[in-house]
Amino acid sequence: MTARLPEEGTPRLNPITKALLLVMFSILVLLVVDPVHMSAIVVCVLVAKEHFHARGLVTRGIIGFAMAIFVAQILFNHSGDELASWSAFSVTTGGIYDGVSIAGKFLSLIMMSWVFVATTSPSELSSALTTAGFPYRYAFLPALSMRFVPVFQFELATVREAQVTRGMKLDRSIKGIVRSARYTTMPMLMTAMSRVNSITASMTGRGFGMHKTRTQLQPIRMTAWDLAFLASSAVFVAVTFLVTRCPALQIA
Amino acid sequence: MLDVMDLYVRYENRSKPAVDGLSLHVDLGEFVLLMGDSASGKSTAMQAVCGFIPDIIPAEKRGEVRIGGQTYEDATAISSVACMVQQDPETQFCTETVEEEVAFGPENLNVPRADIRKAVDESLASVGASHLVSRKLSTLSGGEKQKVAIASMLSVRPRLLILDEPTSNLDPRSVSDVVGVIDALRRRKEMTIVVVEHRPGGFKDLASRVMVMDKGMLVLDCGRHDPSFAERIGKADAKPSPPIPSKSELAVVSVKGLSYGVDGTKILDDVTFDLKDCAVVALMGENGAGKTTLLRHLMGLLTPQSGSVDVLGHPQDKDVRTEPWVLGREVGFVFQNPNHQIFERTVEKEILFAAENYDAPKGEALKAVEEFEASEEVRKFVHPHCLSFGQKRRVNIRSASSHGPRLILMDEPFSGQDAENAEAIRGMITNLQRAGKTAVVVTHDIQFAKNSCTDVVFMRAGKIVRTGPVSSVQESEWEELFTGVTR
Repeated sequence: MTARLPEEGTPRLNPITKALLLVMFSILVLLVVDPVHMSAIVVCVLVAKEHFHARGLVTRGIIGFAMAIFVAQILFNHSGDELASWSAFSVTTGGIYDGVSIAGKFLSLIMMSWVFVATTSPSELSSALTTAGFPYRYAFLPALSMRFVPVFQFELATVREAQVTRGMKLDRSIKGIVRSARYTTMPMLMTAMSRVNSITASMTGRGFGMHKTRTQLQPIRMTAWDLAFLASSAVFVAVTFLVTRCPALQIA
Repeated sequence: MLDVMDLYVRYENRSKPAVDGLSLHVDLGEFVLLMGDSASGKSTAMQAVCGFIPDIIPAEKRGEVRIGGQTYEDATAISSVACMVQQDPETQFCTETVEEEVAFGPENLNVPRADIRKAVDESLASVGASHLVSRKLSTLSGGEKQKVAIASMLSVRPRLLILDEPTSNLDPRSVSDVVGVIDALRRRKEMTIVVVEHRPGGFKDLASRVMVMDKGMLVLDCGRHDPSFAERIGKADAKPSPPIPSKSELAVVSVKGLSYGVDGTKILDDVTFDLKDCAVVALMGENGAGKTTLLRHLMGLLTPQSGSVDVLGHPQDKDVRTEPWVLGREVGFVFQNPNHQIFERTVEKEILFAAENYDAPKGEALKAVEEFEASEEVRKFVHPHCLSFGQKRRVNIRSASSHGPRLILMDEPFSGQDAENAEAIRGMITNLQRAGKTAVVVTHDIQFAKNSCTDVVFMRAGKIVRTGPVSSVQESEWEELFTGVTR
């Protein structure tokens, strides 16, 4: 998946603010049941997807999977009133509502999480957590984990290429997958262990863990902008929740 | 400054110690070159000095290490006085930007914010990398990464700086840059510098002393003016065997107008050249010149975006693709990192892996197994991952060539190899040519190209700047071809 990050110089939210927003909107998505409201949320998420240029195989896969959930609900969920039928298949109001609701929840949660990851620098997240008083040893965990994701992706691709160049066809059958896994585990394990040793030596060798706290060259503090954004988002989520729960405003 | 007394290190599950009774003394401001073959114990000794052994790497450790006359409890405590720059800078970065990386050490030591800024600026200035301060680490070249790795240690203001093979993965221009940086640090005489290297290279004119380790012990410790110094330096830089001229005019590789780019950046730009059968070809150029990308096209791992590639009669262009596993029957590929290409549980199975997959006659493969190791016990029962780095690399080359491919592609096979292993690999390449095969070797080693190759392909910024027989390249041209700067 590729993304366009915000341009340099544009005001950026504190990573903690973004994490809290993600939690708030995720709760909202889980609580929404009305298909019209859910459709509105999905439209907002897709607009955000376009804004951040979320493209690539994974994005297409996520949207495709959400579509598959929707179609499966329409075909196999027979609750509610029947709208149309073809031989053994029938389309019902319950199938459409549940399809929109479940596929919308899946798509919204995944895409919102993705936007958070794509627009948040791991180092900034660690820095913000440390500034907020979170123990820095743990604050560094997400940064380190995210730092190694592309490294391991690259290494996995290299191991696969090394297998293919020595005559191992990438077979999609169960037997082929088991064989591939067998020949992938050991090289990945060896390189991972070597990397863990190197990074631990590098961090320990520069005093990581020497003191309970650490100073920061560029601490990331919560600004008035962050607080305003959090407050207005909280109000928005609360109002949206009440509206979606108001019987007069619900379709189903 | 540094006193090591009777140091003994034995890794878990190993019967022999890696370092056995090492004692040495280094004064403040000295520049020491610590040399020795692979597995001689030099890196292990320095990891023990920094406390990484046993704190991070489990091993039995005995003896005493004093830095500035003091002993330290653990690696974290040692970090305030001694730092070690590891071989591959990429593996030791733990942040995203140059500024964050250089500030990392002082931040851990609770240095006040204003002083961190000063430490970052001074450290970057001392390695000539002030202009990189706002860059992302992922966008730096190999030489720039090494400079930043050194700066990230200097910002802690260590009194002892250890550099483990700081130039092993760099092209000649980057090597020259990094040697210049270390020379400038040496001249300031503010800290003790220990450089661990297989070959003295550019450091031979800087070192005030050379120490040589063998089988975990110090076997030579001599000053610059000692006759043994020149003898040892000369031995490590000995010339290899002469090249064998190519006998054939038949083209095995034909590349025409090949271009390839990622995210709008051109990596290969209108590349055109032919390679003859039975040749040993040095594919050379600076880090980032496009050598590995070109090699991956020859193996079918990348599809040309424009132009065409023909390897042993298998055409490839943007519309026609030959799968790598099909090409693999006739083309062997040795990747940069030995660990990425070891799959089996024994040396014998590993070397036979491709022959088994292609159902090829095993005669040549079994011969390759025996040539690698005479001992049946090692061949049948030792896990390839338990071999030394140099041995793994030799297994890689045999594994990629034992099923009888006509063309072998190697991506930096000499990287991180000591003189003995490099000579062994050179011999293997020569033997492949004698057996009628063609080898394309990505390398920064000008001596290897001059002395062991028949042809050379030089790349710069994705373009071919020179192809032809090695004999056609004038002595004065080699460095110019690398840097693009006429002297």
